[in-house]
Amino acid sequence: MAVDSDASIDAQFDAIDWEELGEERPVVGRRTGGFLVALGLLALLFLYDRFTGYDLSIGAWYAPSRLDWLFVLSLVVFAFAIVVPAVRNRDRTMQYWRRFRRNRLAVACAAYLAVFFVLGTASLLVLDRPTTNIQYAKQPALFATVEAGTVAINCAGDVTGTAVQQYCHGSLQFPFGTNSVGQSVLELVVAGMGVSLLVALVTSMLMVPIATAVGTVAGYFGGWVDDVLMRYVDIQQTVPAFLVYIVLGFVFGQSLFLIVLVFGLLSWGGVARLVRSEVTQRREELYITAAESAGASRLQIIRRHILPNVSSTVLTATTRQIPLLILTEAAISFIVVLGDENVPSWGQMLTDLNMELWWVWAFPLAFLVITVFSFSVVGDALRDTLDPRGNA
Amino acid sequence: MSDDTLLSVHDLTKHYPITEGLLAREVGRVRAVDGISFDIRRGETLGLVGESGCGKSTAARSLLRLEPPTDGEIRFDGEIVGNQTDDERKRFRRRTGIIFQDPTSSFDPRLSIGESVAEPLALHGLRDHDRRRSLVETMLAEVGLSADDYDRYPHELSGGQKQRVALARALVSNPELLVADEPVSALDVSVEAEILALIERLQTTFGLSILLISHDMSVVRDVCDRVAVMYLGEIVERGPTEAVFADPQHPYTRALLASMTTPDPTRRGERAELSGTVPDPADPPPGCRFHTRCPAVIQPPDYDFDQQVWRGILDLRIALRNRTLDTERLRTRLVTEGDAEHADEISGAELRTAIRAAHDIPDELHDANAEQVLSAALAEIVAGELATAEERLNESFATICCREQPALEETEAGHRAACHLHDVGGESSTAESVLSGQQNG
Repeated sequence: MAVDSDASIDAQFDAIDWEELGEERPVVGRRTGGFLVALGLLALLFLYDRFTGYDLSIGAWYAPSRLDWLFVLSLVVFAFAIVVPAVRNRDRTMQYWRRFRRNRLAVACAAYLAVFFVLGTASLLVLDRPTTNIQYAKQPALFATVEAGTVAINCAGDVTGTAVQQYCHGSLQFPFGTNSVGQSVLELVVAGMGVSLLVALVTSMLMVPIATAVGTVAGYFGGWVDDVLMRYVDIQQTVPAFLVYIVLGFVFGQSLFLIVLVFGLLSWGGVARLVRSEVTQRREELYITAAESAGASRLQIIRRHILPNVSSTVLTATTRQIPLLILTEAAISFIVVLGDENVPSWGQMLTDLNMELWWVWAFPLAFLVITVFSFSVVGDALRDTLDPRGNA
Repeated sequence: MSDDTLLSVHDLTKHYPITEGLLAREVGRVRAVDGISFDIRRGETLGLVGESGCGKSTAARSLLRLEPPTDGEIRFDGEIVGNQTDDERKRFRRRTGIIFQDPTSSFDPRLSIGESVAEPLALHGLRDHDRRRSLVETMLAEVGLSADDYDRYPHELSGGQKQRVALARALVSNPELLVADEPVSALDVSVEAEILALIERLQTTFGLSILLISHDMSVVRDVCDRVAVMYLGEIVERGPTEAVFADPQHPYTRALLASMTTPDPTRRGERAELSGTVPDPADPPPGCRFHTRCPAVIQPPDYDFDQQVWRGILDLRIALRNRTLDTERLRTRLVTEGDAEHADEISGAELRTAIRAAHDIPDELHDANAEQVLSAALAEIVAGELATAEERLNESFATICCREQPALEETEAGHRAACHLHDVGGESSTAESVLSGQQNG
């Protein structure tokens, strides 16, 4: 085996003129290229919408709002940062999936999140907002009843009972019933999914790059750079983003836009800290030294070895941060009325605490709980899947 | 320095500062590598041996400038390494390769082994993907794997296979110097032999110069042309492998050789293991760094102790110097061993005997003068006057080994060693007798 190849390896080496080859030029990979093209297209659309009289009909709310643009942008980022690599490295994805599959609860939660993602996206980009319909106000949910004639003026479902005491039954037309202005609670729940999804995706899109950059730089370069960055994170974490939001809300007005901006820009501290500790560990690995000895620059090492190896930490940490942010958004919507775009947030629906019309708040509450729970479970399962060292 | 010298290391020093406080004030230095020099000729294998913690790996990393050395000059192919332009540094990187002890940590778990091996090629600008792949596949075949292994991942391979891949990666850019840092320490003995054979074959194929770092004398004997023995950041002996193995000139080398596993069971009894651990490189002992553990420390001219007794006296001296002699602990030990009911009941005489016993010093030295000095010092120790005792011992039992650092000099065996036993030509007979005494004792 060796005797045959000796000649060929020498011949192959002889054919290489190392001095001619020179530097490794940064090659724009297909994924990066695709990402840049998609970003460019989005920017063009935005400019077109902004500077011409034509309104594009993306976004189901008013004309495309700044939130819609942010959401579409985060969809693009999500597709190129998560979906494309997962599809490209099918073998690894399948390997992860086999490990993930063992956790049945997590699979169920992931399935729910898939539905949540599809419905939420549809609600933000395609579906209309729930319309008011006084004629069918206060309709009960399926299998529930309400007094007909007095509470529910008209009834979409069956009406039973005596002439004195009539009951309106829930119908398939309004499976979750309607609220006091006749909006379908089902439609409201779906619209709420859109809001939560927007919060999850847009804040992640802001958090991930900042946390990754700060954590990587601090961990890889160490020394005073590390000290300065981590002290800043300390400071940022002592100032609650909630407080900052309240103050800025007084100045700029309460809005969902402000929520995602403030929480996206101020909640990355924990993730950055995790990334940093992961990077300081990875930095000591011998394959880093091997790459250095092969002539890799710091930037090349970060790009080739550090970032791919901390990506799972970032993904996991972010997934576990999302439920907190969704809850925070719901809490703020519960307390204050968000000014812009009349946000159909689940938190806002919870303000309608009427025991008789329980479906008006119970369904949004249930979905809020399920969503938060699912994100937490999937986040935990992702950590077990992507970083098996933890449970070894 | 002859013309066919590929790498020349002169006075290489690597200190790690120990800092304290906000302003990173330097309070000390770990002298990991403290002025070592050696040459490697083209096609030659130089072995760098020593116990773990003696600075071998740091030396390797500094000479490849994976860490900037504190001081010293490294010449690679005549050019000074260190103040090169970016292009020159890149060339230096291409012309050197390194493999490590831990084959697992050596590979990025997210890259297939083919991608790992191809990395140096890509870094040095070989953009043609197909050519890269074909070269890597040839290289994998060269190290005894198959081209199909290109797409496998590190976790699918055994330690020996990974070490083969590591060799492929180190050699794929066709370097002239390979640094092998404990290449077989993590492997089974059977695999170890295979990898060593592979390294030797690759050396011929590629005309490599190799710096082989190991703590294992038998590995060095099998592979190296020349050997340099390191102790606590310094080279203590250097020479052709046969000469060093046949006629070691430094007591440390002798101890290392004695610790080698001997296939002959009748000779097992001769093993003279080194006592104690390597001292802290942040605070190396004065004089010869090996004197704290050396079985052949030179005796003062006025006395003629049994070498073991002398070692005991010296240990006592060193314990005094480092203030590690703890009479309180000794008292407690005597109580727990049942020699006394209570720590206060132990008499001075009992304690003195215990100190002697702890250092393997007989109850009475043959030499009356020496005995006088020693008992006086012991009395002072028991009285708690450690400084006076230390001074008394230093004065009466002075030895050059504790005072002066020996230089790496030519010995009568023809190669270099840094030991005071070889200082004066006329005393060579003493050196010979002491060294051979060590081997027999």
